[in-house]
Amino acid sequence: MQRQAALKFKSWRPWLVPSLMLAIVMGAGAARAVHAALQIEITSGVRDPIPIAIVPFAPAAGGGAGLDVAGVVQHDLEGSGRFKALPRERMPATPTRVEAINAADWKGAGSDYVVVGRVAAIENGTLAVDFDLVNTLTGVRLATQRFTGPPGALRNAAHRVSDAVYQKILGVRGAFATRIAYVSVEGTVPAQHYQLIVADADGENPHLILDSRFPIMSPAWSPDGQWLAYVSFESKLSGVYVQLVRTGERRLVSARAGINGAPAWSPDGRKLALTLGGSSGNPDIYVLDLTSQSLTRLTDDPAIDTEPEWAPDGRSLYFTSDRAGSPQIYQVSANGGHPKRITFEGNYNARPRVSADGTELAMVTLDGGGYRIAVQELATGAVRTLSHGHLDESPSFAPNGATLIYSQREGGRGSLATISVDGLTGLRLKAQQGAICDPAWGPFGT
Amino acid sequence: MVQRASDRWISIALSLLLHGALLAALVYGWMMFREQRRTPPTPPISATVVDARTLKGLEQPPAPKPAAAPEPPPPPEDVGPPQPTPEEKAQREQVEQAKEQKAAEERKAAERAAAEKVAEEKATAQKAAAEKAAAQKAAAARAAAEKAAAKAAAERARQDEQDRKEREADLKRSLAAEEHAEVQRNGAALATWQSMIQAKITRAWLRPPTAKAGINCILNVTQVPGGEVTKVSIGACNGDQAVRESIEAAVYRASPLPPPPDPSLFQRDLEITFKPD
Repeated sequence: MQRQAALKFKSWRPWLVPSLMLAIVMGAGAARAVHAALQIEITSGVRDPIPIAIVPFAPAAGGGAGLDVAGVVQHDLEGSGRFKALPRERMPATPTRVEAINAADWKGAGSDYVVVGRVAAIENGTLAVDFDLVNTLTGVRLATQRFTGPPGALRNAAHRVSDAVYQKILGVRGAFATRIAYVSVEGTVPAQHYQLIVADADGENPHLILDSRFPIMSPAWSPDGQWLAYVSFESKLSGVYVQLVRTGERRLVSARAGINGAPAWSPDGRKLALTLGGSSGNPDIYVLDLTSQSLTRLTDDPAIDTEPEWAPDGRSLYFTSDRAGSPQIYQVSANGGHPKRITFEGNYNARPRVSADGTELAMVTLDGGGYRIAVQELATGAVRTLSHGHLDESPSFAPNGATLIYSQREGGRGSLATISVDGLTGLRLKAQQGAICDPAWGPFGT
Repeated sequence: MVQRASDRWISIALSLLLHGALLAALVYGWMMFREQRRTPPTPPISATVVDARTLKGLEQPPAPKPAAAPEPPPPPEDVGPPQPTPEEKAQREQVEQAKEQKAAEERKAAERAAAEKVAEEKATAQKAAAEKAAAQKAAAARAAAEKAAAKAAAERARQDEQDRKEREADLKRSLAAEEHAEVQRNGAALATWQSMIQAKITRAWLRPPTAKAGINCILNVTQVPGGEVTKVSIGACNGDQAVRESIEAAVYRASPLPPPPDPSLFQRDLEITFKPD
């Protein structure tokens, strides 16, 4: 073919050559002229969540655990505020394998991503959950993964699918397969009933950790997610306990005179920071070594110092103090010394919690109409109020720093809510019996 | 725009160079052609067309007429040694004289003939020389004429080239002027197109919370006529994964991109900068 063309070219009349060359030169010139790309600048966008379709997973033969895995994933992703799921009735098809996905159909349905998957029973009653994540715009498969476990862990597997999808698209680890602890209060004074509960991060799958007729307060997760420290008034006086979540095994670590409260685990899990009132009744911050039982005093001030929280590097602690007349947040070295004031906006900033990367401080702030959850950027001091309630309390960061859980009071009854750190997405956790409060978000891998 | 102008100048320079080269090649080729016509190659076999009848005549020459045989001279009489008589002496002398006269005449004639011959030869030589000179002169003249013709041809070629150059320059000037006018005319249309694309991508960009001020990401996008986006590649970008995914998705979601108001403005390559404020 080429040879023929060359021969043909040779037989052309010579005068054709210059004009042909001229044409080529002009063509090249034209091509060069348009070579520079058209420049466009985009400075704003839409604050809409990412459209995604989570197709119902194929159930295991024999029905499996009957859990709607895709439904759990959809709830997780939508709850983060970063995703908006395509309603099932608008799905163009129900593929369960990546080969069956027609990307154009899903793109046409407005979904940038599609998740398909299936549940299968493998040996010894173990279930396997497989899923694929496909970008419908590019046709690229972003993830293919399998999670296995006993039928009882199917919900956890679903959360792990959510985590993987979240991470693949946003580049941040999802915190769906984590747990929360909170306190549930039922009944009215004096016949109240207190329960310490551990549940999935979406509020499902609750497990009773402690049941008491006396107040339970301030649950705190150990860094490895195995232990919970909490305050219990079961002996009429306050005491700090640590309990192994899986077995219920527990021990009393502080039942000193006066207040024993607000336990916080050091990042290495070896120490607990506590608020101790002592016989004088003036609360200060102490650090208790869990192995040696030795106690170190960090603050000594006539004002109230309470609610300690370790910085992620373990070198300092944040706490609340009213030493300047109103509650504000201070930072003190883990070796003690003079505390440094951190918050300056408003007359009430309390209950500090630090994000895992150490860049942001969540707190309760009195902002106009009420006590609300706010976040302060530690580097700049910039504060933004996230929640809109009247009595929002006890903020706790998700381990990925993307969301906070906190307690709120509506109609006189306490409930739990989450809010994204940009303040755009809030979610109320499923209504429980009674009132719930004091949430604590556990670490990854619990 | 600066880049575009320099590109155009490079194109023009390249085009000029090539045109020059083409012209040179054309002129050279034309001159070679002329040269060849001036000195036709000697054919290996030359032939002259002659009449066949002539050839026939030549083949059969007329038979020679037998000429009358000359009478042999009478044999000399043996008369013995002649005895001169006064008469005879006088006769002899007369004869001698006549002989001498005749010899002289003959000598003279011979001399004359020789002279004539020499003259003739000389004349011939002179004529030949003259002819040769004439031929040489003619050749020289012809050569001169040819040279002049060649010179004229070269001059004409040069003139042609100059004319062509001028025409080309004119064309280029008018093209440039036209292009300039078009650029001005198209400037507005191009800006319109840019803002149309910008608006569509802005609507399509689901800006993640991490796309804060200070984020600056460049996307190189290829579209085909009709506006369908066929390729997106992320260049320099200080955003996180969410930002990267979102800007890539934004361009694909905006596909097909709006067409330019004037189809001739279409460009395949777009450089899109995401610079949230």
